[in-house]
Amino acid sequence: MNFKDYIKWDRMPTTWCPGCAIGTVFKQTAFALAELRLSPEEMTVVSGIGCSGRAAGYFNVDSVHSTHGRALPVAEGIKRANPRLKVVVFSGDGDLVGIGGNHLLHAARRDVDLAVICINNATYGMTGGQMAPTTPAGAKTLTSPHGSAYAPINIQGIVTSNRRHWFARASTFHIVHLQKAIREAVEWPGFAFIEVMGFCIENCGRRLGFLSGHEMLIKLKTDFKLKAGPEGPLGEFELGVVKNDGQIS
Amino acid sequence: MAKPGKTIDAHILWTPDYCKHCSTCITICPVKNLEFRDDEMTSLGKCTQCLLCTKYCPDFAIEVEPKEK
Repeated sequence: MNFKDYIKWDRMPTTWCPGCAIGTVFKQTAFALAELRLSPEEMTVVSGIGCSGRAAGYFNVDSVHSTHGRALPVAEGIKRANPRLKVVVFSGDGDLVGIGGNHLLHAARRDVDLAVICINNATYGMTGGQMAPTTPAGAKTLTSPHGSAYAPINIQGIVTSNRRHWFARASTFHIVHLQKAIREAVEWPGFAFIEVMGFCIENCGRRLGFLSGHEMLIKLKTDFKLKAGPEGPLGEFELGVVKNDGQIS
Repeated sequence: MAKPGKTIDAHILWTPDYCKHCSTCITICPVKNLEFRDDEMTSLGKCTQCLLCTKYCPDFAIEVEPKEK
């Protein structure tokens, strides 16, 4: 299979802004699916609301563009009804962690066999750049013009608090790690969550002083480093995979 | 199927219908091979076929087909 078989070419170009991080994640997902040789009949893409929710319509597979925050329950229903399907959830941080935070808690607790790709741009991008639960402390947004007063939510802590877990953090600059993580997440028999550190240039980056999308891409390169050394929880600016197959160590 | 692209070098295909002029490929290119001239992507003939532009382009607009050695 070629990655071009997973994309609806008549709907290109996408509606995303120039240089948007979602386009890179979308492309890497198509590459990863092509490497796994999954046929379009045996997989489903579910997305929530937001800019990243548009991706469900661009994949040339059966897909659902669900309501705000409810991507995980819809995906869980699909998986329970037809366990043969590989279900990929493609959504953003405002949808999965903000509005649908409760569903994330319980889908991770029940260990549903899903691969969740969460694009974390640290803001509510589509609605104009309001402060999200993932906004770093001190970051200026539309609703926090003097800087966010609160610490961001710890997604790694939520997912890895269950004994059996699979969590990865990737960034849109480190694409080899991102593609490997997507492949591993789709193959993992349980709840697999990838937090992809992305950016929003139009509604978040311009308030922070960035002029173009590729400046933010280079910022990801300087900020984030791949975790070296023994396995264990990832630090705030580390990329890697944390997993446990349920064995008591 | 995908819209036809323009050949801007022996093995570089650029699709103007998909390109949003975000300049990610220009920034990411390690040999500074790509450049915009009058909104047209131009190759300066230094391509080493590392495929980074193909992998980073968010809009499927640039494609490098490696030549067989």
